[in-house]
Amino acid sequence: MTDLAERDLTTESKGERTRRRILEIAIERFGDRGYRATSVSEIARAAGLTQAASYAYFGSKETLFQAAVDTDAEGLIEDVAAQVAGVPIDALIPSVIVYAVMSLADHPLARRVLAGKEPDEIPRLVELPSIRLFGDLIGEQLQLAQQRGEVRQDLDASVVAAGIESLVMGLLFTTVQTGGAATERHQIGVVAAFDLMIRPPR
Amino acid sequence: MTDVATAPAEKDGHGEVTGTTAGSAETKGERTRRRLLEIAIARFGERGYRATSVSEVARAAGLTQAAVYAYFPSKEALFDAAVDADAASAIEETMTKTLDTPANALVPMMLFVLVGNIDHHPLVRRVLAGEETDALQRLIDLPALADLTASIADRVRAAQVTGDVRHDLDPELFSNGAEAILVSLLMSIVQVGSSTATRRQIGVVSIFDTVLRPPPPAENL
Repeated sequence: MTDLAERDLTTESKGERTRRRILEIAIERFGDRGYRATSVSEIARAAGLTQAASYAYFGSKETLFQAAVDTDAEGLIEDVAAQVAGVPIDALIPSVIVYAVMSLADHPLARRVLAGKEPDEIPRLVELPSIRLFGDLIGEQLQLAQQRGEVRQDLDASVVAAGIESLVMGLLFTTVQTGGAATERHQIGVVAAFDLMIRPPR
Repeated sequence: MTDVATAPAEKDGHGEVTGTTAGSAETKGERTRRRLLEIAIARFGERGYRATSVSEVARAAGLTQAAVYAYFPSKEALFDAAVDADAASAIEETMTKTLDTPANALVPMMLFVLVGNIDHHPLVRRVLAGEETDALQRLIDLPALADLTASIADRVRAAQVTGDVRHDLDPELFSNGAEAILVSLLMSIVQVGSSTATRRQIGVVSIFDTVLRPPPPAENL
């Protein structure tokens, strides 16, 4: 949630600040106890607002929950993107997975959805615009590395990037839901597969 | 659920599945065991571990509860055996249906077959959907899954000999990674539903092709 908190603090209006604060609390509460066990009134109270005032920002509990999921997922993606900046292309995808798993500790609501505890939210999470942006970013990195000769030439960077989005999401699901049970054999294999995908053949 | 509870499929030198044990050679005890597993797969798959009782499985099989315990010492043992049997038959079907698939399309095709058949394997579906959390680990460590992985390695190795797969690739390493990716994609497809964009599906197919494909001649220079 770092970027969210640091974003244009000075130019932020009072309304924006309140909205952000409600979302931060919602992420924490929903992430901790889930949609059903969390009430809008407890979030409003924690934000120092009346329940009626909070409805001026989010029309319903569902709207608030979805906005919280989107915000937390975006924050997670921003964290990961910042951490992998400068990572060499051949280690990029495995690093994304490792950092994403580590950053989940700071994103309780994204973690909860990935853990399958809010099944209705999973399809929305997968179609989130920021994931698409992340895929585009990977595509750009692949293309740049192709120009440097670090990635095989006969690869369509944007097509492969779309596949990488799927693989990363899938691997995150399994890692979270099995409690990181993947064996060393699997981990080494996945790293090797991602390496082979892009490496110019010897 | 064709081959539930039959002996493990054996592989010949080419990694192909040879026939399963003949139905005629099955003893009465084996037949009862298989029938119990079929019922257990259907019931546990539909309503889950907690909501299903051993006595209802016994009744549906025309047995007393005590008789069931002669085959499976506990509800947990019956559940575990049902998960294993359902997964083993899903994997066996997948291997049979991908025998003629070229190596560079093998993993996506396996995924396609697994997804296409998942409704015939209600218990595997339930576990992959995350509704039986304790059983997930079991599914990942399943011997049948190791067979699938070994067959991927065999097929990739054979395609290296024919020049259809790049030579600077370790088939074992690749097959282990492919296994992890296959399971995780299957899990996300079951949980996300079919909403995953075509763009992503094409991407996954392209990735496996890219991983295996030998470079075009110009790049060899």
